[in-house]
Amino acid sequence: MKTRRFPGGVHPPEKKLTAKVPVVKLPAPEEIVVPLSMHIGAPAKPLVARGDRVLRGQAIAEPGGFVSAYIHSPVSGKVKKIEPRPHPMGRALPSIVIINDGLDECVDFQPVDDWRNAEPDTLIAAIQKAGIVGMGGALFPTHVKLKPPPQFTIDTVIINGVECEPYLTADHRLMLEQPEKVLEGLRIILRILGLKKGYIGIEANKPDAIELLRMKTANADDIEIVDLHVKYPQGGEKTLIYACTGREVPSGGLPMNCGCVVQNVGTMAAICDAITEGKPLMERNVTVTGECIKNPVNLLARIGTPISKLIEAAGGFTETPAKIIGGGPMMGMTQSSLDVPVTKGTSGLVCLPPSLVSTSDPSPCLRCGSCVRHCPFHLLPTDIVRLVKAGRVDEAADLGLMDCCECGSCSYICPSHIELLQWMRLGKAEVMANRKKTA
Amino acid sequence: MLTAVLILSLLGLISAVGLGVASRVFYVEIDPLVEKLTEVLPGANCGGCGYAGCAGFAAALAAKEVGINDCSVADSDTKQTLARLLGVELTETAKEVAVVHCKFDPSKMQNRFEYKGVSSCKAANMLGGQLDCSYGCLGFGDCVKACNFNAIVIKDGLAEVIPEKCTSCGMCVEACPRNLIQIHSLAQKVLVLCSNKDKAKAVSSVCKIGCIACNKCVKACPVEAISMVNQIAVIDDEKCIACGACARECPTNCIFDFGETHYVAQINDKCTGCTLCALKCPAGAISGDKKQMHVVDPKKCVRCRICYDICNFESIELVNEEGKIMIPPRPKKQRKKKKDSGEAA
Amino acid sequence: MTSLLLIAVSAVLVNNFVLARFLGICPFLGVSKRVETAFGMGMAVIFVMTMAGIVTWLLQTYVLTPLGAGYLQTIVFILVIAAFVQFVEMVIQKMRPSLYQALGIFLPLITTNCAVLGMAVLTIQSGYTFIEMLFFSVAAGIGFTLALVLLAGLRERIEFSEVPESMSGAAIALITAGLLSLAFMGFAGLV
Repeated sequence: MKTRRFPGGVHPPEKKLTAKVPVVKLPAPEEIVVPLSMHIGAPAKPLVARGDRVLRGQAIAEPGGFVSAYIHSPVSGKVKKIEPRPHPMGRALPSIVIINDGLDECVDFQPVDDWRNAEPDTLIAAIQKAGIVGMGGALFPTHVKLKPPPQFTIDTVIINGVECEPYLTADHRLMLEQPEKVLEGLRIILRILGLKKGYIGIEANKPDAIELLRMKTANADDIEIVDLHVKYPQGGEKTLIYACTGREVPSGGLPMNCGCVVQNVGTMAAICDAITEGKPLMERNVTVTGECIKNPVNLLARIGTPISKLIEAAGGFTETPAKIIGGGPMMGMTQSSLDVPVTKGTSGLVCLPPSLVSTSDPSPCLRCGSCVRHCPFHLLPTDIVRLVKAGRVDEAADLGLMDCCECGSCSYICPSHIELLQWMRLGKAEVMANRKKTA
Repeated sequence: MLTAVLILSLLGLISAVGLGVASRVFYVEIDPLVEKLTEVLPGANCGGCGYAGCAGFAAALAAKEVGINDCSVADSDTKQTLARLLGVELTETAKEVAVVHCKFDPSKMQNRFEYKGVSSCKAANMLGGQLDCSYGCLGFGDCVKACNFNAIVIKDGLAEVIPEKCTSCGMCVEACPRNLIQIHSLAQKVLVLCSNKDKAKAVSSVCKIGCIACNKCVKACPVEAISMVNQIAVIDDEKCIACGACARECPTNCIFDFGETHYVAQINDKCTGCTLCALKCPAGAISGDKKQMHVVDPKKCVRCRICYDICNFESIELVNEEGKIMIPPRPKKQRKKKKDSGEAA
Repeated sequence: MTSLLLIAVSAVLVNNFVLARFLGICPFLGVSKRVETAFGMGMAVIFVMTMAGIVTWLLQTYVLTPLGAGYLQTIVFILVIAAFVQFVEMVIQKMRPSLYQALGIFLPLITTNCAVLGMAVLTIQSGYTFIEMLFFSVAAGIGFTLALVLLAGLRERIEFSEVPESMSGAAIALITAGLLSLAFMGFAGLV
């Protein structure tokens, strides 16, 4: 496949400190806190009550709407309570608290028999039952993505193995250690969508993964490994589609508007587990890294594990961090509590020392145009932010505010340290609120 | 000279005729009333009425779509003028002001994290807010920016309304991302200044003067004007008699009484035993037989002054804890002389 | 033909009425807050300039000069311009009430706009023929519109920039106007 370079983008230092560190299984903690909201859409509704005994793999919450997901218990134990608990998004949100009995007693896992000949709808139902959501961080319920409305024809599937965020290596290690699961997951998707060929996009800074996967697909003509130029945000679905196919997702549109479906490699492995072993989504790879972590490591952590346990497993801090970021440093969310649990979308914990965290106050805009030059979607962050600051969000929306994918390239490159991304988020929130008011 | 006069007169005539014709062709109906109303209105264009500016409100007034009282900014003189122009009767409404329902102790409120970013309450709230209390005032001043009248300021990290300047237009109510600001009548002197909806233990761990939903105020209220909704005390402004009993009972002092000091009622020997005070007392603190001197039980008295206002025999005085008379009895009201209908003018 | 084009280019760019001749500064600063309003004002002025130009030229050539009443030029021209402005005002009030509100007092002030009277008098002083006068008046109007729209565009952008408080409002508007005028000096020597 011929690849292109998408416009704009930035080159933050890669800092893949854990690229060569194999994944270590983190033992389940004594208390598991499972948030009811770790997917796009309505929060899940609890299926259990205080005092109930639950098994590992048991569904403890069901979808709260059409766009929602099942949630499963990653351990066996007793439900202590259902109450608001600290959440990676900042506010306390309702969560199911389970006391682990240490037995890891599982439910009867029900794989799909002979998936190669199963109906797509059966496979989609199994994926929904397994509570699988986009594990790249977007957390969109996968079963909804795999059944686009009939007016859209899908002709291309691209699997995102790019992992362009600095520091994160969870997906990289998954591709190196469980390549069969990733490939099998892709084959299941191809069966569901009725396609003959799929692509896996990997950034060129992971040559070992590219080589390994190419070797594994050397004699297969249904999967092609595409190596991509290293640039942030290559891993965004829109830039990925452009780089691989040359197609542009229209303004306000989704990948299905140009016939594409994009999924993360982690989601592939989860799909493979769900279909071939009947195991729901209960754990994931998390990279614990940063210059003030003693032993940066990749952990296989259960959903609901407090991040304090992950930091402990990584040897603790060498100095007090200035920031603990859930996700990557470009798009992740800074955490204010170590009691926050691992969710389905926690790809990493980046702990940065004060020396690496900028505390500069913003200065006036120089009109240098760096933000315009580096925006992957041809937006004008300087003008959009000016309009948002002046309260003219409708005019900002006319300039393309709602197309911003919040990659953070503009904030990263701004020489005046203006909080461009935060203003964009504020503007978008206001536009959404205005739309709700007039709806 | 004749040429000058002729040329100018002719030109003037042609222009006049031309413009006269044009004025008929391009006639535009303008309502002079709307213009007059726009001139009289405050001209703040605050949008509190819901219209796009004072001109929009004037047009709506002329079209009888709104009432004069829908403009909260206009003072009573302006409202009188508007009423005169519209030829309607003006009904007086009590002045209303905005109230910020949060009053934490700035020296004690802790931060969960150091916030560095856009200086806006909305922005900080998107991250959960930097305060330990997830409901309290973040102090970045979104409300201050929204106010067109400089009626709200940030003092020690807390928003505070200046009642004299407030026009209750409601812009601050919309601006606050935590919905802390509500409009109350100026007469509502007793206010619950906490918005924390968490349970008691969670509240007291973040703020010592937060509402812990202990229900003491609910029990103390003589008129059932206060109730617990979502773990906070809520006063029904209509029922409240501003006696201040709830504020006195509250163990965390989250209910504030901005009225005058309350004193206990005491009946002196001028009492005629008409029993009016006993009937009206909401706490049932007055006892006595008809035509006999009545007595106030100081322990039950909620100091609401209802008996004080009702007694027309100069018999009820207000005393402090030592029994010293702080407020003497109300003087007898002079009865208005009724006009004799049969009398000649 | 070349001379006509030269007249036009000169009136629009080289000797722009606002930025080079400094006529019509009143609406230039007063109506240039929004591009829409500025454009509306510009259209009104083009109309008035053209019509007034035609009528004043005809009057000067066939009435005033033959009758030796050249001394009536000022008052007659003003009368004509005033009549046309009143007409334009009525039309705009009927056709575009929002523009009428936005222009406010500046619409009747076109009467006393020295750019319009200046254009009429300059035509006579330069001794233009009818066709030359036509090109000149339309071009003068276009030049006026250009200057207004340019400043309005700049002022709209300055509105949400972080201008120091002591310089905000009229101060920065005047400085920008001066810089715009400076920029237009670059056209000197073009024709």
